[in-house]
Amino acid sequence: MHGICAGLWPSVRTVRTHIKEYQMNVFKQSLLSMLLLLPAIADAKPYIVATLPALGQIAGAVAGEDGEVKVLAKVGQDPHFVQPKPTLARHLAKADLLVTVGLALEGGWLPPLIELSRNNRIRPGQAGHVAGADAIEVLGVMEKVDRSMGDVHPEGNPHWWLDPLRAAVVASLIAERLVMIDPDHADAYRQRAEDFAKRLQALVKVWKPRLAGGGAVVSYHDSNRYFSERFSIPVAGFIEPKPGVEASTRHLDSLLTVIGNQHISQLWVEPYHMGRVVKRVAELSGAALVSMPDAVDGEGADGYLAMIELLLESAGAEQ
Amino acid sequence: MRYAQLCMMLAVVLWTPGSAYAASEIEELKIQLQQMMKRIEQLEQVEKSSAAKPTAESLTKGAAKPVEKMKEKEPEIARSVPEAAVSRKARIAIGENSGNPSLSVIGSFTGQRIRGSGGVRSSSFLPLSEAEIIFGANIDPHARLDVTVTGANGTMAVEEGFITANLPWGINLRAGRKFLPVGMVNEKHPHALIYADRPNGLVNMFGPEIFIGDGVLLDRPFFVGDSVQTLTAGFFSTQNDVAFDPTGTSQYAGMARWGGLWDLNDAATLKLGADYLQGKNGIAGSHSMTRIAGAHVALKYQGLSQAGFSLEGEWLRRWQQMGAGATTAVNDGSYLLVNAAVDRNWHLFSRFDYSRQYDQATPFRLTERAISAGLVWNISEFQGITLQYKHTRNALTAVAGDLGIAAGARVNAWYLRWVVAIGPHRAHPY
Repeated sequence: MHGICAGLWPSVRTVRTHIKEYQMNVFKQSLLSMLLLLPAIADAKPYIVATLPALGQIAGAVAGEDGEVKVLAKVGQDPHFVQPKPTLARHLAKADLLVTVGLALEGGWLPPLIELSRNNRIRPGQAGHVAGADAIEVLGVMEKVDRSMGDVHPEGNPHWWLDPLRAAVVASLIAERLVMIDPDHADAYRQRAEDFAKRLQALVKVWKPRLAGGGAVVSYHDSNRYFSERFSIPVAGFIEPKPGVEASTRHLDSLLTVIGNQHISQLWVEPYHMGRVVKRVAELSGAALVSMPDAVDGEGADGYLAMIELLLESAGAEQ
Repeated sequence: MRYAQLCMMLAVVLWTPGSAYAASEIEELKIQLQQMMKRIEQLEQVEKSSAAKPTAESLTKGAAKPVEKMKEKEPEIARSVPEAAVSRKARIAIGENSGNPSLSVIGSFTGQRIRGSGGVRSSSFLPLSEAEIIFGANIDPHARLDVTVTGANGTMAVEEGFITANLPWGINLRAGRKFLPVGMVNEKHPHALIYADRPNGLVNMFGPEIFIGDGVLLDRPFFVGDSVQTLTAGFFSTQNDVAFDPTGTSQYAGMARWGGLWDLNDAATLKLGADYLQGKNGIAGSHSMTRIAGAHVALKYQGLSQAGFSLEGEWLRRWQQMGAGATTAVNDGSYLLVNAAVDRNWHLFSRFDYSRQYDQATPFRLTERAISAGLVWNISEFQGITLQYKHTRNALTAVAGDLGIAAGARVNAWYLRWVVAIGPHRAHPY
């Protein structure tokens, strides 16, 4: 019986030998796979997620071909009210760097997405989380604030990305963070940030004198503060009586008086606020209704500069 | 003044006869004083810079901003020391309270006017029907605690209180008392719903109160292509007296859930999900179980102007064993909701509720239908008003009890709800 079995079944030594060979093969294959994948892993570009299109363009200006940029909000979308779709978290889950505005602009929709992504690299306070507002001089900081003042941001006005020079400062911060993530391309990141800054400075130098001495404007929301202060354009009033609050007829009446008395020639409105009320104010006051987008299509430095140039051309059109 | 004081101190130290200081100590003191003077200069610069900044008054909206006060600091590529200080000051002002949990209070004032068959009449005008006090903060780097204390009808109770922790392998743990994630509505706080009432289908399934469990929920999201798939499992005890135990005694149950969300395009999403719960119900001693299965679907579209629509529906079926050898009661509860957003502030909605109750041993069946329509005005992000009309036919037991009418009666109900929120409140789930 024993002899028959010995003939039919392989010996224990044979089985062990087969197992060892199999294990060796698996090990060799794994090693080969790792060696083949290693260059791909080493060449993996930093995955940068920006909350707003303009931030994506600033990040793209710095990252260039060495990074991949994904933007959560869409062009033409109100940055205060982006829907926190869980599907957006899939981008955050693999992000190496998250670029945000800060100052609680994205407070209503970004935190649950970061939570869902479970990506600890991009949580606030980590190297992979850039809040642009941390790098710049913030305007509109309020010592005491409550909600009777509307939907104000107590830490300051968050619309800094409409100031080209502040964008340049943030670009340098993004560059430094990218250097930490991807030191192999440190020089390229820093160089691109510097080039971007030079282009923006040149733009400001050209446009500032052109817009100097122009008349005051009325804006829908206080979203153009950084832009208007950079180019010395006074803002005489707002269509919103308080941030985030719909205009009453009483407020609009008093605004029409201001527009008439101060000879306001332009009403600045973001595309997503371009509604019946602003059109009526423009009609009654005779002021030009000027679309002031806070985002335009386009990538990298060219996209960002296109937005600023569009704003400057619009602001300068009736000055 | 400070310079003068420091100079005097230095002079006293240097010229006091019989000074005990050795020459080397005097040198050290000199260095320290120089460092202090430098620091004072820096602080004074910061003070001047802060004074030059716009005050809260000058930032008030509607006021013209003087052009001459605008800063002229080009190029401004690197932040200077005073600017850094201003930025820090702003952070400190907000961060002072960072040691405390965030606290928000949500008040729901809901008035109703009910006219039922059989001469049933009742009305109330905007009483504080519910006040939620919500505390939440990270406990440490590993976990977070959220507690909701709710006051309603003169009593206060902890409605929710749970720890959230991130476990390995992408698993999220929620332990404690929680609104159970069954269907789409039950997990949401009432103030987050667009309508003022609770769908009749859910009232017939779980009673007028939210279905709450004390236990553990584990969920794991998976990002698959353009979608998010979430698997949930839970084990909990519940005192629900409609689905589990009419005496309100705790009964243990387990649940499993799948939820999927797909991006159809930039503006539209499709949500699908299914749930299953099972546990002893305590209706007739041992061996009696309650099983609940359900499915839900939601199609949402929102354009850039905040206008959009959503279509969502939910269906639940409950099998309730009435004891060994007894029949099993089966109930269906469902609703279909259409919501149209005119803009960010104005919404219109309509909802159809359908419930059915039948006994497997007999052909006896009861069917309840209700139709609602309403208008919502979100005055701001923090308050909204809902006006709703609901007509219910052939009310089943739970709905009839909730509305104070006889079972099988028909009823017209008007609701006026005003919801307000103060304090920082976390974003509601999508």
